[in-house]
Amino acid sequence: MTAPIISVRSLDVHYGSVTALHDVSFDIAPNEITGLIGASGSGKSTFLRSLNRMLDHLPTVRMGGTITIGGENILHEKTDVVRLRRRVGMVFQNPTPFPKSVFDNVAYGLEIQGIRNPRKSFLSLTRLRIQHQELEASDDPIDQAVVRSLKEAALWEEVKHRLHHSAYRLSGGQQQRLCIARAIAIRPDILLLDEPCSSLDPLSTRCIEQLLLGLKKDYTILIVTHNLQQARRIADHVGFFHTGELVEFGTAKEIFGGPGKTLTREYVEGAFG
Amino acid sequence: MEAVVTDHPQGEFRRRAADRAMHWILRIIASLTVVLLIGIFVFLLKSGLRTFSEVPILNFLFGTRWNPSSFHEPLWGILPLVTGTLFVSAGALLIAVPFGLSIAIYLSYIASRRTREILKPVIEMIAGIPSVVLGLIGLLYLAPLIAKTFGLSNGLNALNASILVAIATLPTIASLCEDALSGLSHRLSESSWALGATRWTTIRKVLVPAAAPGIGAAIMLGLGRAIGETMVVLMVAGNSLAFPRSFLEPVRPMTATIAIEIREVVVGDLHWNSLFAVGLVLFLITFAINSVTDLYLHRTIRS
Repeated sequence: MTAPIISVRSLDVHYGSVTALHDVSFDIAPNEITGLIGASGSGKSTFLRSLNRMLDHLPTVRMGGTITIGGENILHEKTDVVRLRRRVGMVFQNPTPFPKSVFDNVAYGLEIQGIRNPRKSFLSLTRLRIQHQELEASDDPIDQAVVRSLKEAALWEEVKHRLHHSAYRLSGGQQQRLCIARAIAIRPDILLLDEPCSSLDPLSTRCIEQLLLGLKKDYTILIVTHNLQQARRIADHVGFFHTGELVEFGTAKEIFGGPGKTLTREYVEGAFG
Repeated sequence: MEAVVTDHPQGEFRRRAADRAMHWILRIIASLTVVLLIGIFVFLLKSGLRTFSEVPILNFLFGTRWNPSSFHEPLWGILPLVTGTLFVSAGALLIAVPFGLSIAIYLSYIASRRTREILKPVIEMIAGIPSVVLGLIGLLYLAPLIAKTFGLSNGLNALNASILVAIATLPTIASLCEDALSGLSHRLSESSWALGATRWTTIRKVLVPAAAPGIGAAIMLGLGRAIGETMVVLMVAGNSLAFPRSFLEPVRPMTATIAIEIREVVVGDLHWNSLFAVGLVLFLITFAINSVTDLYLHRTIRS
């Protein structure tokens, strides 16, 4: 195995007096898709959210142990959370486009880093008046990032004629791919996805799965999913969480073929969950 | 097993009749609001339009002098009054919008739950202050302060009225902005944070723009309230019919003019009618503001 990009050691997470994660330790290899499975409340989403310190926004949360990303313990209190989140992107369960144009949605992550958006619309009253060919040829950093991200997210062909439209006018599946494009526009190393397909139809789900398989050559992907078939189809490694503990971690083949632990076998065979 | 309560046929008939009666009573009461609106409009129209048989409408709307009681040459131009209204309400919004929006942002994203639960009712209570009390504060405290600060002989002017009208509209604006902001999904904030945005960036670049339709509606409602405000402007705006040139000059908005002059005119004569015409213009301005707001809201919701 290549050197891990993420190393988790004895991670504990408490919400007030409730223990959400207990003593989780494992390594995640770069440029792989890691699937995190488990029943509701098993701690898999909590784990995902600890990787980009999203849990900081909850008032009663306490975390222990270490998570090392790129040689740095990100749970250290001096960690620059803003910088961390630029390296560890996240896509949420429901598509959450901003009430802005398609273009401005993807440009947002760069804009907040202080890069000037050349196509910014004023109060969504002015429109983007540029042909997509012109945009593809542009050498403005934001233009380039938007075009690249939309292409990587397999959305470019569908939206290149309506980049100025409100993102809310896209379908659910397109909105979710837009959120992926928005996340990868700032070129993170790691992409976290929290049940990204749970509100989508099978066709859109398929589309996103293909997209993730294509993205793993550039990004390390962690995906929380309720859908065992999805984990089986796309994950290289799978971690099974149960009541706040990582019960088993192995290759998808090991977990779905013949897992070592009874609990894991029961879960993947559908005995509970 | 038999049903314990058997339905008596007469009982059912009675219930249905009561149901239907209630339905009609409520329907009639609800339609009364429409009748009321049309009635008020017709009432204004009836007296107001009579003005224009004697005063050309353009002279009325764009005349720069209002002097209806002049013995030699009465003048009916409402432009100074309209300008007075604009000065006071624009000034009020310039003050109330930044304050109201800041309060709303603080309440919805920064204040703790406890603070919010105390502060929000307090702000809404400002709406309960009778405007005559605001006027008194203006006369007693604000006017001397303004006079001293700007070296004027007295402090009854557009600025004074603007500040007090701003206080009157603040609860509307703050409370509605707060509703618009706290109604936004928490997911929007999370998505923005996840991209490396700070709380402040998120508020400025995602949340406030997302709440823009609601904030716009709040401002427009505040504007409607400001334009219609009468008591405060009557007391502190200075009551001068000269065409206002700055915020430090006394003005006499449309509402104050009607309130002052209606007591001194003969019922049914030209002056009486002209005051109704002023009321009609006032009504049309607020109506236009409401319609534009509605249109804008529908437009934004649709896209």
